[in-house]
Amino acid sequence: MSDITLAASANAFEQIFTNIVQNFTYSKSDTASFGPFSASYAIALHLQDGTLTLNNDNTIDVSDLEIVFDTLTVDVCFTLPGWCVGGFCVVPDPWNGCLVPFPGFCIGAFSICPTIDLSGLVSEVTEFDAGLRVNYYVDPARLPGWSDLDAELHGHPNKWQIFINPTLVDINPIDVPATVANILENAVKNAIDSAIPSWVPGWAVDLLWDIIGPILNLIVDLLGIVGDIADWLESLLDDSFNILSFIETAITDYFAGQYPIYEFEDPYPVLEATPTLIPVKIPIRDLTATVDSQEMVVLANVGA
Amino acid sequence: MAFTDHCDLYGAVREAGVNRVISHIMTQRPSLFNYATTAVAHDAELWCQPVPHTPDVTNHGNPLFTIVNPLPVLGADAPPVGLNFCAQLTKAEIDFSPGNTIPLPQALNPPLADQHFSLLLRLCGGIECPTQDAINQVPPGGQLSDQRSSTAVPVKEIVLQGRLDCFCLDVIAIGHIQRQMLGAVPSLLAQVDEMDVVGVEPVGLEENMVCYLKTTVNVVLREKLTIAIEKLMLSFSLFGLSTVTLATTPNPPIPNNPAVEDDQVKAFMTMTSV
Repeated sequence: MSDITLAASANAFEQIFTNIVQNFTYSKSDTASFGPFSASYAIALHLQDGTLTLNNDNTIDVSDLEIVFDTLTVDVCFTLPGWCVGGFCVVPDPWNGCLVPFPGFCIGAFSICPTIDLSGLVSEVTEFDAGLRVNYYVDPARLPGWSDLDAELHGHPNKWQIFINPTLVDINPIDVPATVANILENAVKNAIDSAIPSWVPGWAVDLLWDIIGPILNLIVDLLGIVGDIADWLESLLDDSFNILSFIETAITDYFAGQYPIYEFEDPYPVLEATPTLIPVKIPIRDLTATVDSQEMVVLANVGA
Repeated sequence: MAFTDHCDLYGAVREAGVNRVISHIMTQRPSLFNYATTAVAHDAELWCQPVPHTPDVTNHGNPLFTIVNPLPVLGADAPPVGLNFCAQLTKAEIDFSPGNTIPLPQALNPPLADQHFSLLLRLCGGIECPTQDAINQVPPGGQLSDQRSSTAVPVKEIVLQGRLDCFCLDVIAIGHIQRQMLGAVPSLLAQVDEMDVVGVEPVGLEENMVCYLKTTVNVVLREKLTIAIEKLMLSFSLFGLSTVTLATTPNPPIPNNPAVEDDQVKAFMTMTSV
Protein backbone atom coordinates (compact mmCIF):
# COMPACT_ATOMS: atom_id res chain seq x y z
CA MET A 1 0.00 0.00 0.00
CA SER A 2 1.32 3.38 -0.94
CA ASP A 3 1.76 6.19 1.55
CA ILE A 4 0.07 8.79 -0.63
CA THR A 5 -3.04 8.46 -2.77
CA LEU A 6 -4.29 11.25 -4.99
CA ALA A 7 -7.27 10.95 -7.28
CA ALA A 8 -8.79 13.36 -9.78
CA SER A 9 -12.26 12.74 -11.16
CA ALA A 10 -12.80 12.47 -14.88
CA ASN A 11 -14.24 16.02 -14.77
CA ALA A 12 -11.20 17.34 -12.96
CA PHE A 13 -8.89 15.54 -15.37
CA GLU A 14 -10.75 17.07 -18.31
CA GLN A 15 -10.27 20.54 -16.83
CA ILE A 16 -6.54 19.95 -16.66
CA PHE A 17 -6.54 18.56 -20.17
CA THR A 18 -8.47 21.57 -21.47
CA ASN A 19 -5.92 23.89 -19.90
CA ILE A 20 -3.14 22.08 -21.70
CA VAL A 21 -5.01 22.13 -24.99
CA GLN A 22 -5.51 25.87 -24.69
CA ASN A 23 -1.82 26.46 -24.24
CA PHE A 24 -0.79 24.62 -27.40
CA THR A 25 0.44 26.67 -30.33
CA TYR A 26 2.55 25.68 -33.29
CA SER A 27 4.00 27.57 -36.24
CA LYS A 28 6.18 26.60 -39.15
CA SER A 29 7.12 27.79 -42.62
CA ASP A 30 9.04 26.29 -45.51
CA THR A 31 9.84 26.71 -49.19
CA ALA A 32 10.43 24.10 -51.87
CA SER A 33 10.74 23.82 -55.64
CA PHE A 34 8.57 21.44 -57.58
CA GLY A 35 9.85 21.67 -61.17
CA PRO A 36 7.54 24.06 -62.99
CA PHE A 37 6.83 26.03 -59.87
CA SER A 38 8.04 26.72 -56.36
CA ALA A 39 5.91 27.15 -53.29
CA SER A 40 6.23 28.34 -49.74
CA TYR A 41 3.85 28.14 -46.82
CA ALA A 42 3.43 29.60 -43.38
CA ILE A 43 1.21 28.13 -40.71
CA ALA A 44 0.34 29.11 -37.16
CA LEU A 45 -2.26 27.12 -35.33
CA HIS A 46 -3.81 26.30 -32.01
CA LEU A 47 -6.06 23.59 -30.64
CA GLN A 48 -9.59 23.98 -29.38
CA ASP A 49 -12.37 21.90 -27.84
CA GLY A 50 -11.79 18.19 -27.48
CA THR A 51 -13.76 15.68 -25.44
CA LEU A 52 -11.85 13.37 -23.14
CA THR A 53 -12.73 9.79 -22.31
CA LEU A 54 -10.91 7.80 -19.64
CA ASN A 55 -10.94 4.05 -20.19
CA ASN A 56 -10.67 1.11 -17.85
CA ASP A 57 -7.68 -0.23 -19.76
CA ASN A 58 -5.56 2.71 -18.55
CA THR A 59 -5.93 4.61 -21.83
CA ILE A 60 -7.30 7.99 -22.78
CA ASP A 61 -9.24 8.89 -25.92
CA VAL A 62 -9.78 12.40 -27.16
CA SER A 63 -12.44 13.22 -29.72
CA ASP A 64 -13.66 16.41 -31.40
CA LEU A 65 -10.29 18.09 -30.96
CA GLU A 66 -9.98 20.82 -33.56
CA ILE A 67 -6.98 22.46 -35.17
CA VAL A 68 -7.54 26.11 -35.93
CA PHE A 69 -5.17 27.55 -38.52
CA ASP A 70 -4.77 31.14 -37.40
CA THR A 71 -2.37 31.52 -40.31
CA LEU A 72 -2.33 29.30 -43.36
CA THR A 73 -0.88 30.97 -46.43
CA VAL A 74 0.65 29.43 -49.51
CA ASP A 75 2.64 31.32 -52.13
CA VAL A 76 2.80 29.56 -55.49
CA CYS A 77 5.45 31.00 -57.80
CA PHE A 78 5.54 30.20 -61.49
CA THR A 79 6.42 31.83 -64.80
CA LEU A 80 3.80 32.92 -67.28
CA PRO A 81 4.85 32.52 -70.93
CA GLY A 82 4.94 35.54 -73.25
CA TRP A 83 2.24 36.35 -75.77
CA CYS A 84 2.25 38.60 -78.85
CA VAL A 85 -0.65 40.14 -80.72
CA GLY A 86 -0.13 41.64 -84.23
CA GLY A 87 1.12 43.51 -86.01
CA PHE A 88 -1.22 43.57 -88.89
CA CYS A 89 -3.29 45.90 -90.93
CA VAL A 90 -6.59 46.94 -89.44
CA VAL A 91 -7.88 48.92 -92.46
CA PRO A 92 -6.20 47.99 -95.76
CA ASP A 93 -5.75 50.52 -98.60
CA PRO A 94 -7.85 49.23 -101.52
CA TRP A 95 -5.21 50.40 -103.92
CA ASN A 96 -2.14 49.47 -102.14
CA GLY A 97 -0.76 49.27 -98.63
CA CYS A 98 -2.55 49.80 -95.34
CA LEU A 99 -4.59 52.73 -94.23
CA VAL A 100 -4.71 51.79 -90.51
CA PRO A 101 -1.94 49.50 -89.40
CA PHE A 102 -1.74 47.92 -85.91
CA PRO A 103 1.87 47.58 -84.82
CA GLY A 104 1.15 44.77 -82.39
CA PHE A 105 2.40 44.25 -78.83
CA CYS A 106 3.97 41.59 -76.72
CA ILE A 107 3.95 40.86 -73.03
CA GLY A 108 7.10 39.04 -72.11
CA ALA A 109 7.46 35.99 -69.90
CA PHE A 110 7.26 36.94 -66.24
CA SER A 111 6.95 35.30 -62.82
CA ILE A 112 4.11 35.70 -60.42
CA CYS A 113 3.70 34.50 -56.82
CA PRO A 114 0.05 34.67 -55.91
CA THR A 115 -0.70 34.19 -52.22
CA ILE A 116 -3.45 31.81 -51.27
CA ASP A 117 -4.67 32.77 -47.83
CA LEU A 118 -6.60 30.03 -46.09
CA SER A 119 -6.23 31.45 -42.58
CA GLY A 120 -9.11 30.53 -40.32
CA LEU A 121 -9.43 27.04 -41.75
CA VAL A 122 -10.33 24.41 -39.15
CA SER A 123 -9.24 20.82 -39.30
CA GLU A 124 -9.84 17.97 -36.90
CA VAL A 125 -7.75 15.51 -34.96
CA THR A 126 -9.54 12.31 -35.90
CA GLU A 127 -7.61 9.96 -33.62
CA PHE A 128 -5.98 10.77 -30.30
CA ASP A 129 -5.17 7.73 -28.21
CA ALA A 130 -2.93 8.09 -25.20
CA GLY A 131 -1.81 6.73 -21.87
CA LEU A 132 -0.05 8.36 -18.93
CA ARG A 133 3.71 8.62 -18.60
CA VAL A 134 5.54 9.35 -15.36
CA ASN A 135 8.88 11.09 -15.69
CA TYR A 136 11.50 11.94 -13.10
CA TYR A 137 13.16 15.12 -14.29
CA VAL A 138 16.68 15.91 -13.21
CA ASP A 139 17.61 19.40 -14.28
CA PRO A 140 20.72 19.16 -16.47
CA ALA A 141 21.94 22.41 -14.95
CA ARG A 142 22.12 20.79 -11.53
CA LEU A 143 25.71 20.39 -10.38
CA PRO A 144 26.83 16.99 -9.04
CA GLY A 145 27.83 18.29 -5.61
CA TRP A 146 24.56 20.01 -4.85
CA SER A 147 22.18 18.73 -2.23
CA ASP A 148 18.48 18.79 -3.05
CA LEU A 149 18.23 22.02 -1.10
CA ASP A 150 21.13 23.56 -3.02
CA ALA A 151 19.39 22.57 -6.26
CA GLU A 152 16.21 24.29 -5.14
CA LEU A 153 18.01 27.42 -3.98
CA HIS A 154 19.71 27.64 -7.39
CA GLY A 155 16.38 27.15 -9.18
CA HIS A 156 17.14 23.68 -10.53
CA PRO A 157 15.14 21.22 -8.43
CA ASN A 158 14.31 17.70 -9.51
CA LYS A 159 10.69 17.18 -10.48
CA TRP A 160 8.13 14.48 -10.78
CA GLN A 161 6.10 14.92 -13.95
CA ILE A 162 3.06 13.16 -15.36
CA PHE A 163 2.41 13.50 -19.06
CA ILE A 164 -0.41 12.44 -21.34
CA ASN A 165 1.52 10.20 -23.67
CA PRO A 166 -0.11 9.95 -27.12
CA THR A 167 0.24 6.60 -28.84
CA LEU A 168 -1.68 7.65 -31.95
CA VAL A 169 -2.42 11.10 -33.30
CA ASP A 170 -4.13 11.30 -36.66
CA ILE A 171 -5.27 14.48 -38.35
CA ASN A 172 -7.83 15.01 -41.07
CA PRO A 173 -6.32 16.25 -44.33
CA ILE A 174 -6.52 20.00 -44.70
CA ASP A 175 -9.81 20.62 -46.44
CA VAL A 176 -8.88 23.19 -49.09
CA PRO A 177 -12.02 24.89 -50.35
CA ALA A 178 -12.88 24.82 -54.06
CA THR A 179 -12.68 28.63 -54.10
CA VAL A 180 -8.93 28.30 -54.23
CA ALA A 181 -9.28 27.87 -58.00
CA ASN A 182 -10.88 31.31 -58.22
CA ILE A 183 -8.13 32.80 -56.11
CA LEU A 184 -5.48 31.49 -58.49
CA GLU A 185 -7.50 32.42 -61.56
CA ASN A 186 -7.96 36.01 -60.41
CA ALA A 187 -4.30 36.30 -59.47
CA VAL A 188 -3.16 35.22 -62.93
CA LYS A 189 -5.73 37.37 -64.67
CA ASN A 190 -4.71 40.44 -62.69
CA ALA A 191 -1.05 39.77 -63.44
CA ILE A 192 -1.68 39.59 -67.17
CA ASP A 193 -3.94 42.63 -67.09
CA SER A 194 -1.31 44.71 -65.44
CA ALA A 195 1.30 43.57 -67.99
CA ILE A 196 -0.69 44.82 -70.98
CA PRO A 197 0.52 48.28 -72.13
CA SER A 198 -2.03 50.96 -71.51
CA TRP A 199 -2.16 52.12 -75.13
CA VAL A 200 -3.43 48.78 -76.37
CA PRO A 201 -7.03 49.17 -77.54
CA GLY A 202 -9.74 47.06 -76.03
CA TRP A 203 -10.32 45.00 -79.11
CA ALA A 204 -6.64 44.02 -79.10
CA VAL A 205 -6.85 43.06 -75.42
CA ASP A 206 -9.83 40.86 -76.24
CA LEU A 207 -7.77 39.33 -78.99
CA LEU A 208 -5.03 38.58 -76.46
CA TRP A 209 -7.45 36.86 -74.07
CA ASP A 210 -8.73 34.81 -77.00
CA ILE A 211 -5.16 33.71 -77.69
CA ILE A 212 -4.52 32.86 -74.03
CA GLY A 213 -7.73 30.94 -73.66
CA PRO A 214 -9.29 29.87 -70.34
CA ILE A 215 -7.09 30.96 -67.46
CA LEU A 216 -7.75 27.85 -65.42
CA ASN A 217 -6.57 25.65 -68.25
CA LEU A 218 -3.46 27.79 -68.49
CA ILE A 219 -2.78 27.35 -64.75
CA VAL A 220 -3.36 23.62 -64.91
CA ASP A 221 -0.96 23.32 -67.85
CA LEU A 222 1.71 25.54 -66.32
CA LEU A 223 1.71 23.84 -62.92
CA GLY A 224 1.26 20.35 -64.25
CA ILE A 225 -1.90 19.86 -62.22
CA VAL A 226 -3.77 16.66 -62.77
CA GLY A 227 -7.34 16.96 -61.60
CA ASP A 228 -8.93 19.49 -59.31
CA ILE A 229 -6.95 22.55 -58.19
CA ALA A 230 -8.18 22.28 -54.61
CA ASP A 231 -7.10 18.64 -54.47
CA TRP A 232 -3.75 19.62 -55.92
CA LEU A 233 -3.15 22.26 -53.24
CA GLU A 234 -4.29 19.87 -50.53
CA SER A 235 -1.79 17.32 -51.79
CA LEU A 236 0.90 19.98 -51.95
CA LEU A 237 0.40 20.82 -48.28
CA ASP A 238 -0.30 17.36 -46.93
CA ASP A 239 2.03 15.21 -49.02
CA SER A 240 4.73 17.40 -50.53
CA PHE A 241 5.23 19.69 -47.53
CA ASN A 242 4.19 16.99 -45.08
CA ILE A 243 2.40 19.53 -42.93
CA LEU A 244 0.09 16.98 -41.34
CA SER A 245 3.00 14.90 -40.20
CA PHE A 246 4.70 17.95 -38.65
CA ILE A 247 1.53 18.89 -36.81
CA GLU A 248 0.96 15.35 -35.58
CA THR A 249 4.53 15.22 -34.32
CA ALA A 250 4.21 18.62 -32.67
CA ILE A 251 1.03 17.61 -30.86
CA THR A 252 2.58 14.32 -29.75
CA ASP A 253 5.76 15.99 -28.50
CA TYR A 254 3.82 18.70 -26.70
CA PHE A 255 1.67 16.33 -24.72
CA ALA A 256 4.31 13.64 -24.21
CA GLY A 257 7.23 15.78 -23.21
CA GLN A 258 6.66 19.51 -23.01
CA TYR A 259 3.58 20.16 -20.95
CA PRO A 260 2.96 17.83 -18.00
CA ILE A 261 -0.55 17.56 -16.64
CA TYR A 262 0.98 17.46 -13.17
CA GLU A 263 4.39 18.42 -11.90
CA PHE A 264 5.89 19.02 -8.49
CA GLU A 265 9.30 19.39 -6.91
CA ASP A 266 11.13 16.49 -5.40
CA PRO A 267 11.85 16.66 -2.53
CA TYR A 268 8.51 18.33 -1.96
CA PRO A 269 8.42 21.32 0.43
CA VAL A 270 6.00 20.77 3.31
CA LEU A 271 7.18 23.67 5.46
CA GLU A 272 8.31 26.83 3.74
CA ALA A 273 11.60 28.51 4.45
CA THR A 274 11.61 31.39 6.88
CA PRO A 275 14.10 34.27 6.83
CA THR A 276 16.35 32.19 9.08
CA LEU A 277 15.36 28.56 8.49
CA ILE A 278 15.63 26.29 5.48
CA PRO A 279 12.45 24.69 4.11
CA VAL A 280 11.46 21.21 5.16
CA LYS A 281 11.27 18.94 2.15
CA ILE A 282 10.21 15.34 1.88
CA PRO A 283 11.41 12.92 -0.77
CA ILE A 284 8.64 11.41 -2.88
CA ARG A 285 9.32 7.95 -4.26
CA ASP A 286 7.68 5.30 -6.45
CA LEU A 287 5.25 7.64 -8.20
CA THR A 288 2.73 5.92 -10.47
CA ALA A 289 -0.26 7.26 -12.38
CA THR A 290 -3.13 5.30 -13.86
CA VAL A 291 -6.61 6.00 -15.17
CA ASP A 292 -9.84 4.10 -15.23
CA SER A 293 -13.19 5.18 -16.56
CA GLN A 294 -13.90 7.30 -13.48
CA GLU A 295 -10.68 8.95 -12.42
CA MET A 296 -6.93 9.32 -12.50
CA VAL A 297 -5.13 7.82 -9.51
CA VAL A 298 -1.63 8.85 -8.46
CA LEU A 299 0.22 6.76 -5.89
CA ALA A 300 3.50 7.55 -4.19
CA ASN A 301 5.57 6.83 -1.13
CA VAL A 302 7.33 9.11 1.29
CA GLY A 303 11.00 8.36 1.09
CA ALA A 304 13.12 7.69 4.14
CA MET B 1 -15.95 2.34 -5.70
CA ALA B 2 -13.90 5.23 -6.97
CA PHE B 3 -12.03 7.61 -4.69
CA THR B 4 -13.82 10.53 -6.36
CA ASP B 5 -17.38 9.20 -6.34
CA HIS B 6 -18.50 12.21 -4.31
CA CYS B 7 -15.78 14.74 -5.01
CA ASP B 8 -13.42 15.90 -7.73
CA LEU B 9 -10.14 15.69 -5.93
CA TYR B 10 -9.13 13.23 -3.25
CA GLY B 11 -5.95 13.06 -1.24
CA ALA B 12 -4.93 10.64 1.47
CA VAL B 13 -1.76 9.92 3.40
CA ARG B 14 -1.17 6.78 5.44
CA GLU B 15 0.13 6.97 8.98
CA ALA B 16 3.41 5.36 7.95
CA GLY B 17 3.91 8.19 5.46
CA VAL B 18 2.94 10.83 7.99
CA ASN B 19 5.42 9.35 10.46
CA ARG B 20 8.19 9.60 7.88
CA VAL B 21 7.15 13.21 7.23
CA ILE B 22 7.38 13.90 10.97
CA SER B 23 10.83 12.35 10.97
CA HIS B 24 11.90 14.61 8.09
CA ILE B 25 10.56 17.67 9.89
CA MET B 26 12.44 16.70 13.06
CA THR B 27 15.75 16.29 11.23
CA GLN B 28 15.37 19.33 8.95
CA ARG B 29 13.93 21.74 11.48
CA PRO B 30 15.35 20.46 14.78
CA SER B 31 14.97 23.81 16.51
CA LEU B 32 11.22 23.21 16.52
CA PHE B 33 11.72 20.21 18.79
CA ASN B 34 14.79 21.09 20.87
CA TYR B 35 14.92 23.96 23.37
CA ALA B 36 17.80 24.92 25.61
CA THR B 37 19.57 27.80 27.25
CA THR B 38 22.58 29.16 25.40
CA ALA B 39 25.13 27.32 27.55
CA VAL B 40 23.44 23.96 27.02
CA ALA B 41 22.75 24.46 23.32
CA HIS B 42 26.43 25.22 22.69
CA ASP B 43 27.75 22.20 24.55
CA ALA B 44 26.75 18.85 23.05
CA GLU B 45 27.95 17.13 26.22
CA LEU B 46 25.06 18.71 28.08
CA TRP B 47 22.28 17.65 25.72
CA CYS B 48 19.92 15.05 27.06
CA GLN B 49 19.80 13.30 23.70
CA PRO B 50 21.69 13.71 20.42
CA VAL B 51 19.92 15.87 17.86
CA PRO B 52 19.66 14.08 14.52
CA HIS B 53 19.76 16.54 11.65
CA THR B 54 20.52 16.72 7.97
CA PRO B 55 23.80 18.23 6.76
CA ASP B 56 21.78 21.08 5.19
CA VAL B 57 20.77 22.29 8.65
CA THR B 58 24.30 23.11 9.76
CA ASN B 59 25.56 23.90 6.25
CA HIS B 60 23.01 26.72 6.13
CA GLY B 61 23.69 27.89 9.66
CA ASN B 62 20.36 26.74 11.05
CA PRO B 63 20.26 26.12 14.82
CA LEU B 64 19.71 22.72 16.37
CA PHE B 65 18.14 24.32 19.44
CA THR B 66 15.83 27.21 19.98
CA ILE B 67 17.55 29.29 22.60
CA VAL B 68 15.40 30.07 25.63
CA ASN B 69 16.00 32.05 28.79
CA PRO B 70 17.29 30.27 31.87
CA LEU B 71 14.74 28.93 34.29
CA PRO B 72 14.36 31.69 36.90
CA VAL B 73 15.13 30.93 40.50
CA LEU B 74 12.04 32.24 42.24
CA GLY B 75 12.64 35.10 44.60
CA ALA B 76 16.07 35.94 43.27
CA ASP B 77 16.14 39.45 41.82
CA ALA B 78 19.27 41.12 43.16
CA PRO B 79 20.69 39.89 40.93
CA PRO B 80 18.24 37.64 39.13
CA VAL B 81 19.46 34.05 39.10
CA GLY B 82 18.67 31.42 36.50
CA LEU B 83 19.31 27.77 35.83
CA ASN B 84 20.29 26.18 32.56
CA PHE B 85 17.97 23.55 31.16
CA CYS B 86 17.01 21.76 28.01
CA ALA B 87 13.81 20.18 26.74
CA GLN B 88 13.81 17.87 23.75
CA LEU B 89 11.13 16.05 21.84
CA THR B 90 13.01 13.00 20.65
CA LYS B 91 10.22 10.91 19.23
CA ALA B 92 6.83 11.63 17.69
CA GLU B 93 4.68 8.96 16.17
CA ILE B 94 1.08 9.03 15.01
CA ASP B 95 -1.52 6.28 14.72
CA PHE B 96 -4.70 6.97 12.74
CA SER B 97 -7.97 5.26 13.52
CA PRO B 98 -8.38 2.33 13.85
CA GLY B 99 -5.65 2.37 16.46
CA ASN B 100 -3.16 -0.43 15.94
CA THR B 101 0.38 0.80 16.52
CA ILE B 102 0.24 2.82 19.74
CA PRO B 103 -1.23 1.01 22.77
CA LEU B 104 -3.44 3.42 24.67
CA PRO B 105 -3.25 3.59 28.49
CA GLN B 106 -6.48 3.08 30.42
CA ALA B 107 -6.52 6.77 31.22
CA LEU B 108 -7.29 7.46 27.56
CA ASN B 109 -10.19 4.98 27.36
CA PRO B 110 -9.05 2.57 24.68
CA PRO B 111 -9.79 1.63 21.98
CA LEU B 112 -9.12 4.72 19.89
CA ALA B 113 -12.40 6.29 18.81
CA ASP B 114 -13.40 6.58 15.18
CA GLN B 115 -12.07 9.60 13.29
CA HIS B 116 -9.32 10.12 15.86
CA PHE B 117 -5.58 9.71 16.05
CA SER B 118 -3.23 8.87 18.85
CA LEU B 119 0.18 10.37 19.31
CA LEU B 120 3.20 8.99 21.10
CA LEU B 121 5.73 11.57 22.16
CA ARG B 122 8.98 11.06 24.02
CA LEU B 123 10.13 14.11 25.92
CA CYS B 124 13.55 14.36 27.45
CA GLY B 125 14.74 17.20 29.56
CA GLY B 126 16.81 18.28 32.48
CA ILE B 127 17.62 21.22 34.71
CA GLU B 128 21.20 21.99 35.67
CA CYS B 129 21.62 21.37 39.35
CA PRO B 130 24.14 23.93 40.60
CA THR B 131 26.84 23.03 43.05
CA GLN B 132 27.02 24.79 46.41
CA ASP B 133 30.13 26.56 45.15
CA ALA B 134 28.13 27.97 42.27
CA ILE B 135 25.38 29.11 44.62
CA ASN B 136 27.99 30.79 46.76
CA GLN B 137 28.83 33.10 43.84
CA VAL B 138 25.52 34.87 44.33
CA PRO B 139 26.24 38.08 46.32
CA PRO B 140 24.57 37.78 49.68
CA GLY B 141 21.86 40.43 49.83
CA GLY B 142 24.10 43.31 48.95
CA GLN B 143 22.73 44.62 45.69
CA LEU B 144 19.13 45.02 46.78
CA SER B 145 19.44 48.60 48.00
CA ASP B 146 21.49 49.70 44.96
CA GLN B 147 18.94 48.26 42.59
CA ARG B 148 16.14 50.23 44.19
CA SER B 149 17.94 53.52 43.92
CA SER B 150 17.01 55.85 41.07
CA THR B 151 20.49 55.67 39.54
CA ALA B 152 20.76 51.91 39.57
CA VAL B 153 21.66 50.11 36.33
CA PRO B 154 19.96 46.79 35.62
CA VAL B 155 21.82 43.95 37.28
CA LYS B 156 22.96 41.15 35.01
CA GLU B 157 21.40 37.79 35.62
CA ILE B 158 23.60 35.08 37.10
CA VAL B 159 23.17 31.68 35.49
CA LEU B 160 24.36 29.00 37.84
CA GLN B 161 26.42 26.12 36.48
CA GLY B 162 26.10 22.52 37.52
CA ARG B 163 25.25 19.04 36.40
CA LEU B 164 22.30 18.45 34.06
CA ASP B 165 20.07 15.66 35.32
CA CYS B 166 18.16 14.37 32.32
CA PHE B 167 14.99 12.34 32.34
CA CYS B 168 12.67 11.07 29.60
CA LEU B 169 8.90 10.76 29.63
CA ASP B 170 6.54 8.99 27.30
CA VAL B 171 3.46 11.01 26.57
CA ILE B 172 0.46 9.59 24.79
CA ALA B 173 -2.23 11.82 23.40
CA ILE B 174 -5.40 11.39 21.40
CA GLY B 175 -6.91 13.99 19.14
CA HIS B 176 -8.71 14.77 15.95
CA ILE B 177 -8.04 16.67 12.76
CA GLN B 178 -10.24 19.55 11.73
CA ARG B 179 -10.49 21.94 8.85
CA GLN B 180 -9.30 25.46 9.38
CA MET B 181 -9.26 28.33 6.93
CA LEU B 182 -5.92 30.12 6.88
CA GLY B 183 -7.02 33.27 5.11
CA ALA B 184 -8.72 31.78 2.08
CA VAL B 185 -6.69 28.57 2.17
CA PRO B 186 -8.42 25.45 3.45
CA SER B 187 -6.04 23.73 5.81
CA LEU B 188 -5.83 20.81 8.20
CA LEU B 189 -5.20 21.37 11.86
CA ALA B 190 -4.51 18.57 14.32
CA GLN B 191 -5.77 19.14 17.84
CA VAL B 192 -4.93 17.11 20.92
CA ASP B 193 -8.03 16.39 23.04
CA GLU B 194 -6.60 14.29 25.86
CA MET B 195 -3.14 13.39 27.06
CA ASP B 196 -1.54 11.01 29.52
CA VAL B 197 1.96 11.19 30.92
CA VAL B 198 3.16 7.73 31.80
CA GLY B 199 4.55 7.12 35.26
CA VAL B 200 4.20 10.52 36.93
CA GLU B 201 2.84 10.95 40.43
CA PRO B 202 1.19 12.48 42.34
CA VAL B 203 -1.94 13.02 40.29
CA GLY B 204 -1.83 16.77 40.74
CA LEU B 205 1.68 16.95 39.31
CA GLU B 206 0.67 14.80 36.37
CA GLU B 207 -2.39 16.95 35.72
CA ASN B 208 -0.29 20.09 35.69
CA MET B 209 2.27 18.51 33.39
CA VAL B 210 -0.50 17.27 31.08
CA CYS B 211 -2.04 20.72 31.00
CA TYR B 212 1.25 22.38 30.15
CA LEU B 213 2.24 19.79 27.53
CA LYS B 214 -1.18 19.65 25.91
CA THR B 215 -1.26 23.42 25.68
CA THR B 216 2.24 23.45 24.22
CA VAL B 217 1.48 20.80 21.64
CA ASN B 218 -1.77 22.45 20.55
CA VAL B 219 -0.18 25.88 20.30
CA VAL B 220 2.74 24.55 18.24
CA LEU B 221 0.36 22.61 16.00
CA ARG B 222 -1.67 25.77 15.40
CA GLU B 223 1.28 28.07 14.88
CA LYS B 224 3.74 25.87 13.04
CA LEU B 225 2.18 22.71 11.71
CA THR B 226 -1.12 23.65 10.12
CA ILE B 227 -0.95 22.04 6.70
CA ALA B 228 -2.80 23.42 3.70
CA ILE B 229 -4.90 20.76 1.97
CA GLU B 230 -3.08 21.79 -1.20
CA LYS B 231 0.15 20.60 0.46
CA LEU B 232 -1.44 17.32 1.47
CA MET B 233 -2.37 16.85 -2.17
CA LEU B 234 1.17 17.66 -3.36
CA SER B 235 0.04 20.88 -5.07
CA PHE B 236 -2.03 18.93 -7.57
CA SER B 237 -2.31 20.87 -10.81
CA LEU B 238 -6.03 21.57 -10.36
CA PHE B 239 -5.10 24.04 -7.60
CA GLY B 240 -3.31 26.25 -10.11
CA LEU B 241 -6.12 26.53 -12.65
CA SER B 242 -7.83 29.87 -12.99
CA THR B 243 -10.84 28.22 -14.63
CA VAL B 244 -11.96 26.43 -11.49
CA THR B 245 -12.37 27.04 -7.81
CA LEU B 246 -11.86 24.29 -5.26
CA ALA B 247 -13.72 23.98 -2.00
CA THR B 248 -13.79 21.29 0.64
CA THR B 249 -16.59 18.84 -0.10
CA PRO B 250 -19.47 19.38 2.35
CA ASN B 251 -21.52 16.91 4.37
CA PRO B 252 -23.47 15.45 2.66
CA PRO B 253 -22.13 13.79 0.61
CA ILE B 254 -18.88 13.40 2.60
CA PRO B 255 -19.65 12.85 6.32
CA ASN B 256 -16.10 13.46 7.55
CA ASN B 257 -13.83 15.86 5.76
CA PRO B 258 -11.07 15.48 6.69
CA ALA B 259 -11.54 11.84 7.56
CA VAL B 260 -9.21 9.95 9.86
CA GLU B 261 -9.91 6.33 9.04
CA ASP B 262 -8.35 3.25 7.47
CA ASP B 263 -4.99 4.31 8.97
CA GLN B 264 -5.08 7.38 6.77
CA VAL B 265 -5.99 11.04 6.83
CA LYS B 266 -8.15 11.86 3.84
CA ALA B 267 -9.36 15.11 2.33
CA PHE B 268 -12.00 15.70 -0.34
CA MET B 269 -12.34 18.72 -2.61
CA THR B 270 -15.12 19.72 -4.99
CA MET B 271 -14.44 21.70 -8.14
CA THR B 272 -16.60 24.46 -9.56
CA SER B 273 -15.98 25.91 -13.00
CA VAL B 274 -15.51 29.65 -12.98
